[in-house]
Amino acid sequence: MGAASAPKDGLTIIGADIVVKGRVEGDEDLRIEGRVEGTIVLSQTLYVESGGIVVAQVQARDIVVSGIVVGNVQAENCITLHAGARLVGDLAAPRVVIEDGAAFKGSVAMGESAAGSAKNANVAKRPSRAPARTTTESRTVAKSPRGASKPKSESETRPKAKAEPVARPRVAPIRVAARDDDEVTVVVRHAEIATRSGKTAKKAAKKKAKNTPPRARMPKPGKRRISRR
Amino acid sequence: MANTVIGSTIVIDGEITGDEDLVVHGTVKGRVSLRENIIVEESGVVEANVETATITIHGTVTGDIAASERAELKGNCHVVGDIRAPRILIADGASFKGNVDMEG
Repeated sequence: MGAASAPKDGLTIIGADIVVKGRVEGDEDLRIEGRVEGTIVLSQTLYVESGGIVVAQVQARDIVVSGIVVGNVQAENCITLHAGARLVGDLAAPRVVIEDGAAFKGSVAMGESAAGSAKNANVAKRPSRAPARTTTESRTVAKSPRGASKPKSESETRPKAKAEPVARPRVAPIRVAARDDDEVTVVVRHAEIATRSGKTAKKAAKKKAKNTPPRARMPKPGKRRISRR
Repeated sequence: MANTVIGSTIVIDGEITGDEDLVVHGTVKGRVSLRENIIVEESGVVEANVETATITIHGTVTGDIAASERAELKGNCHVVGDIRAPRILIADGASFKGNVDMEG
């Protein structure tokens, strides 16, 4: 057995009956036929074979998926989802290929900005371009609005999502007065008026009740008219 | 060959469990628990507590080893940690520091 396994660079296989939990990183191709949970950072190609299950944040140069991936996926070059692939998460790569028969749920960020952010993944800066059309997608996925600038850990993702104009209403629904959102400010003013005028009105009503009898009177039950003296 | 190979540039930090042979050329930290064979090649570095059926070490292992069948330390290997196995083979040229328990 020892002789058969001569060092063969550029090929790492995680076999079908292996479970890896934690962080996997390296500078060569990685082929996953088993299960990996945690984080994968690779400077070469990641293959998730059919039967392979990856529950992880994935970062690699190329990613070829024929199996199952749950988590955000970021590639410097290309993400390919073959037929039979199932992926839940956000994709960020200059090129994304989804073949017929692949199942995918999540958002896609393509193009040069995605490439740039994929390279500068450690710098937690968003690219200035923030297309509004991704917002609906990102809400349905309930993840960080764009996988593009996804950092490695989730703890980094959250504060960034807060700073995001798109996500802000979700975080602080009423305090958004900084953004001139007419509806919200109106609501706030109404609330103020209601509380202030409510007090004064009550006081006035009390005074009136003391000084003057009620003007309009209703007929007593059983009578059609108000009896006048 | 349903083998699992950890290539020389790969670093795994965490836990590996499973039911098949594992060949380590790279680095594994954390915990390894297999029911089959582990081969740590010359470039392989294992900094983990290892639980397996048989283990063959050409490289470096730091951590306790519990093999249910056999532990084999080849020449040029470096092992620091306790070894517990019914059969333990230490070849000439191997470097080992730790306790040996062959009781089972």
